[in-house]
Amino acid sequence: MAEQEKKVIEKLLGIEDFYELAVRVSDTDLMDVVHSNIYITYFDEGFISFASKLNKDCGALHKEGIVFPVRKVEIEYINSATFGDTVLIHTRVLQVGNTSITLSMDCYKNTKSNDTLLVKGRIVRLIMDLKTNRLIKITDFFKDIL
Amino acid sequence: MKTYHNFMSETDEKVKKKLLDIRDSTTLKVRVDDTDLMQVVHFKNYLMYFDQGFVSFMDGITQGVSKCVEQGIVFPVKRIEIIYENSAKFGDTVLIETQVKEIGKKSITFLHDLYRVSDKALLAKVESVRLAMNWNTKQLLNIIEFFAEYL
Repeated sequence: MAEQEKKVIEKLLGIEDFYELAVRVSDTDLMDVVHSNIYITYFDEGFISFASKLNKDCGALHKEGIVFPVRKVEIEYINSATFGDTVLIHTRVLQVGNTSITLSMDCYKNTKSNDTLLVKGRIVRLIMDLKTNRLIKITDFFKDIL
Repeated sequence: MKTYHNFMSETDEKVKKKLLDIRDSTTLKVRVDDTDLMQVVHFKNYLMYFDQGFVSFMDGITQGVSKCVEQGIVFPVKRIEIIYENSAKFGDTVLIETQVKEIGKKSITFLHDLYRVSDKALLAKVESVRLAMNWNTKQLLNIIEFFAEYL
């Protein structure tokens, strides 16, 4: 592996992002809690914030045909949130593959602590160029973070 | 030495076997608002699809999920794992096949396979762990006892 690639991976593994959002009324279900599926939309928000921290504007990239498809999701539900709460999404890079990146996306109610952990999330994303339908190498895509 | 299995009654074993033998399938049509800017179904909506698989499974053997909810019994999700293989588009019909993988004391693990009907392409494989809970007392129900009433 080229020296530069190793450096990009090392840098990515050290990056973490916190993004806070308010629970919307429409996020809750008949059990009066945020529906289990909704956390996935929170992960999207967290990812967009994480990417912007690395100077990647997901909206502008989409217009150029660069998208971030999801390959795998794992969620463990620990606690529940409801309308009136805020959700703090803590994003970290767990693994950098050739064409996939694995992120840990843990969500907390209001503040980060063991007691307020809502869900433990793990998501594998790819980066794809829709113009060519090809996957982009992760370290190439993020090479400008050095 | 007696094992846990010796304590499990014959009826419990029968309920368990019946549950494990059930194969449910249901279909739904992709709606415009299921899709996203990539022209495909947003990955969140596959969760909604297998929720539908769960509802269909339950409606087939119990009085129906909505009746359960009316009586204060809900089915929270404890854990999910999804692998995405292909993507569905507006106009597709999605087939959801549901079966039980494992029955614990307080949890039940479902397997859902999602297919595109037109070419039988596998869209996603899902494993989900659910609980059954009495919403009023917030107590978890024993899974076998809950289903024994219906099977």
